[in-house]
Parts: sequence; structure tokens; C-alpha cells
Amino acid sequence: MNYFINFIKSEDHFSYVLSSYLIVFLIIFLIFIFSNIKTKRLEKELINLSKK
Amino acid sequence: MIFKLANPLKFQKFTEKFQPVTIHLALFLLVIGLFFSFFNSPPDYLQGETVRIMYIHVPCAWFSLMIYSIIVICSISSLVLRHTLADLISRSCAPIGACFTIATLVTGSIWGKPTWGTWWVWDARLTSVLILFIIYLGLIIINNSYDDKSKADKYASILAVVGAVNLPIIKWSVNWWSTLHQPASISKLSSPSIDPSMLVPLFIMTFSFFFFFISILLIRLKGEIIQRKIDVIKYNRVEK
Repeated sequence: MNYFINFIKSEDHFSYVLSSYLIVFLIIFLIFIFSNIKTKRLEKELINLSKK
Repeated sequence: MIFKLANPLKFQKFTEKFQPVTIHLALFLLVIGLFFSFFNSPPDYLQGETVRIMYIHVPCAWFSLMIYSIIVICSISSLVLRHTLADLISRSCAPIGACFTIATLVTGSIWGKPTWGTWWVWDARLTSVLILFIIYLGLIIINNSYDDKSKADKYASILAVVGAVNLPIIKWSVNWWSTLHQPASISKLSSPSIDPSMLVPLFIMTFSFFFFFISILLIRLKGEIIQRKIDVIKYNRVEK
């Protein structure tokens, strides 16, 4: 717990660490969401094509 | 088992079962990894708190190289054996690899500012990783530029194999040239130059990123298999 409290207090380094974590998770989240949306759209298109 | 999964349709069924497991494992390991990264690992005596960037920067860098290696193996398999699943894996891997590479570059740059005093330098390691990102972009552009998918797969495979020259350059650039980037700290697992309190979160985050990679790969692979089915249906209708 002390490590975390010291990290929060480290004003000059806190923003660098936090921003890098946020950017990486944002990138992973975006690729995951976009891949999911694309696959779901293709699944719908396949179902529609199969019905015709 | 492996030969059964080489059939794209059987592989699709496998991915539907396996994908939810991988995403749950990734999230579980991420929570543990974050706990160890922030609550159980000390600051570095030289770099201070910025060393915590290592727990995401290093796994991203490892996966940018590992994913490219997978693409190269699949490209060779595609060119030599003309295996459909190898093409699909290459196509699915390229955007994920590009994401891990840009994450490596951005986090490296953020880490560089307080450590080196600059966001970017044109040194061998940074430049060769930037070239890797450009190659990934090239693969994505080729994969989406042709209506004839077999042609796109062939050209993308050739680019991937040629671009493989960059992998050893990235790996050994810190040894071959004088660079700002530090040499590898975990070249031998038996005697790493990192303390276990830092090594544990690093490996947990690496496993978490591995399962994120597998999960996204399985989703994209499923999409690619469906896309091929759609193409076949459309082609058959035009033929009639």
C-alpha cells in the first residue's frame, strides 16, 4: 500500500505513468470493440444473404 | 486436434467456444497484474515511479515482435503450402500487431521524456520499431486494397517475409549500435537483471496481454471466415 501512496504523491511522474496506462488500455479496448462490431456486422450480413 | 482445426469451419466452432474463456482470463490477469504493478512493486532507484511504465511497455513490445513472427510463419506457409487458414491468421494478426506496436512507440515515448529528457530520438531501436509499424500499415493497406483476396494475400505474404529482416535488427539494435535505449534485461530467465518484485508484475501483465491478443485474434478470425463465406455466396450468385 505504501508503494501506491508514494506513487500517487509523486507529482512529476504520476501523469506520465497514468497517461501511458490509459493510452494502452484505450488502444486494446478500441481494437477489441471494433473487431467485435465488424464480426457482428458480417454475421448479420451472412444471415441476410442466406435467407435470400 | 491441430489438423482438425486447420479446417476453417471447424476452427470457427472452436473459436466460438474458446473466445469467452480467453477474454475472462485476460481481465482476471489484468486486475492481478495492476495490483502487483502499483501496490506490490517498488520504484526504481534511478528512474523512480516511471519504471511502472515498463509493465505495459515491455509486453506491448514483445507482442509487436511475436505477432509479426506469427505473420511471417503464416506467410511462408501461405506461399509454400497455399493454406487458407494461414492467410486468414495473417490478415487477422496485422491490425492487432499494429496496435501493439503503436502502443509500444507511444509508451516508450512517454517513458523517454522523464528518463532521457526527450520524447523521441532517431536511434536504432526506436527507428526500427517505427519501421515495423510502417510494415504493419503496409500489410493492412495491401489486405484491403484488392477485390481478389488471393492476390492481396500473396502480395501481403511477400511483404511480410521481406520485412522479417527488420526483426533481428530490432532485437539486436541495442547491441549493434550505440543507442539511448537500454539493452535487454531479461535475455536469460535464469539470471535476469530485474528484481523479482518487478519481474512478477511484468510476467502477469504479459500473460494478460497474451490472452487479450488471443481473444481479439479469435474474434477477427471468425470475422474473416464469415467474410470468405459471404464472398463465396456472392460469387456463386453472380455466376448463376
